[in-house]
Amino acid sequence: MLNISRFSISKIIVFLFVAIVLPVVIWYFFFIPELNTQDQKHSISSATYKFIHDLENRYRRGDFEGRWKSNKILCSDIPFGSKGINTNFLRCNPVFLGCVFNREFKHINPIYNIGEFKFKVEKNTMESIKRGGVKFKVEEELTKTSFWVKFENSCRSVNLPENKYLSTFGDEEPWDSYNRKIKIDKYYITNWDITNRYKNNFTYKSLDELKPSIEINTELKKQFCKKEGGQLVSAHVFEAATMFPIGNYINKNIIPRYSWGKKSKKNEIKPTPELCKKMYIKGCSEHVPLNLFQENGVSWIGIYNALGGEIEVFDNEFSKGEVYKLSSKYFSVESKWHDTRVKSKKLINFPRKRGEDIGAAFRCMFID
Amino acid sequence: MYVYRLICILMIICHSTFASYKTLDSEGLKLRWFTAFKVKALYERVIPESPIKNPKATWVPVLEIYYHTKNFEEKKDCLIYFTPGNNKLGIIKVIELKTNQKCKNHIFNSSLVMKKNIFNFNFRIEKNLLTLFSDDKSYQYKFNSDRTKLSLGIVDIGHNGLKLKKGEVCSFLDDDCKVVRSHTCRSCHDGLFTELIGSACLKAYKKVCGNIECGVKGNPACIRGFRAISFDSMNYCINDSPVAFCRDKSRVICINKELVCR
Repeated sequence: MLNISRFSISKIIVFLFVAIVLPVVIWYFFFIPELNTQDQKHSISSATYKFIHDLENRYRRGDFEGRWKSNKILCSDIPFGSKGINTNFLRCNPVFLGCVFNREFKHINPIYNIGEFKFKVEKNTMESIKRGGVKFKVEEELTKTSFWVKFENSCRSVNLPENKYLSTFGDEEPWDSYNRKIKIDKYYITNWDITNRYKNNFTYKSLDELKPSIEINTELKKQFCKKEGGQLVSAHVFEAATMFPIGNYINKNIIPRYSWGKKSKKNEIKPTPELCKKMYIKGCSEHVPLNLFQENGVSWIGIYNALGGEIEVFDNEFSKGEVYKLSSKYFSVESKWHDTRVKSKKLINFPRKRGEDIGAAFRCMFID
Repeated sequence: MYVYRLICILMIICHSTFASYKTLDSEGLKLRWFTAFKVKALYERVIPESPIKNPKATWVPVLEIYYHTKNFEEKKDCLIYFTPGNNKLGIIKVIELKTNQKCKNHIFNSSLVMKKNIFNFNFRIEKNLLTLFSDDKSYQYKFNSDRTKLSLGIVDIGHNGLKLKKGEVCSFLDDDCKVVRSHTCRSCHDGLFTELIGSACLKAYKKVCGNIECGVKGNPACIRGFRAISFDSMNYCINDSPVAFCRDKSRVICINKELVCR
């Protein structure tokens, strides 16, 4: 019969402590990267802060060095060069961000290493969120921590200042935007937005994907903007964003015709490079190409194609049905449609090349 | 006795080694508060360079720190302080609560962090940096307050917050602009909400969950605005009210103080 004395039990316990527990404790204190000392120059939170800050700066500013424009950087998910596109399209662009995560740009890669910390993002963790933003998972190798990051798309829209405005619809309806934060997209919604964004397919196949979405009907346009968390731009909001602001409007007749304010007689202006920058109309292609995401037709609040560019469709809350901005690259300079106060209830016949499929582009607005 | 002492030492070592939040200077706490999007000072009698002393020997809520969890849900931490007095020294506690819970009602909840035996305690908030001063030590917490509203979820709480249904009110100020329902529209399903005119308050419109098309029969009337025309907002609740409009042939009607189209 085994007769174990009290002294033997003590020996066993001491042996277990020395053999098992003590090495574990020593290993934890000396061989695992220490998180709880204050001796490190960069703590994990400081390193995280710097990494997120640098990454967000890159996301928001895109290719601010101009390397893509000079075809000096390549990404497998962007299979076209810079010709025909303004570099603005890379700003707040999830496909570009995916290229950054895949480390396809050597000049950007240094942001991943901060002190002894190494951050990593797997592109397949990227997901679209509302309003064109994106979320993704970050991992840090040394501390083996991971966390999710959400970038909101701050590039896409501008605020309509809180003010009283006049709509040209109905009986010239007044309205105001006080205590309503209304944001309007600067650019048109693209084909890629419609087909790829919410499928988390962060790649481009061709330049056509960057073109304004004109093929879908108005109902689908409304549904897309709703999915984004907003709505199709209302005509009276677009008017407020594009009609030249001259203070309190009394009636429609004192509002300048053009979004840049100058009241001109019919034949005073001709399509010149300077005019084409203010509104890209028929005849401009002879002077300057129409690039995608080009900053043409900028209005007083900063949205583009206030006049010219594509035909555009809006929702119309002051009267039934939608309305169209016909001022576009399809109408010549003398056309009555090049007027911020004038909209059409129909997509009427207009001159177009044989076989060219033309519909109306659109953008979204958001009310917070 | 010898064995018991060894076991006690072992337990002390384990306790201090494996706790990740227990101290104010732990990286776990710094990372957690890194995602803070709002910091609210509850103790208003702060004097810079001077410790918090009054009322003596009392638990006082000091700070609320609102942050995002892993699923971008909102939570808050309360920092509460027991002021020295009656021969007792000060204690700092950090407790985790839901955003709608009041700190003062949960003072004796179990704490995430506790620091005892404090003589002097104060804090300072500057831009995106919180500094806690406790006797001869200071603890700094950086917040990510980038203007693009970066959300960084780290702590996994493991459950989703309550979602509001379509049509539920998520923000409402009454005619005197008193808060009837504080802004909780982030809790709407999909985060979408619609504004409508439901009171005479000029500061903010009533908001209900869901993206509801305004101006059609049966839906809220579209907002023209209280300042678009000269009209006394207190009398807004009338049929054909000029502060709203309908798209189709329906009329603006006031039902239960809300302007709708019928």
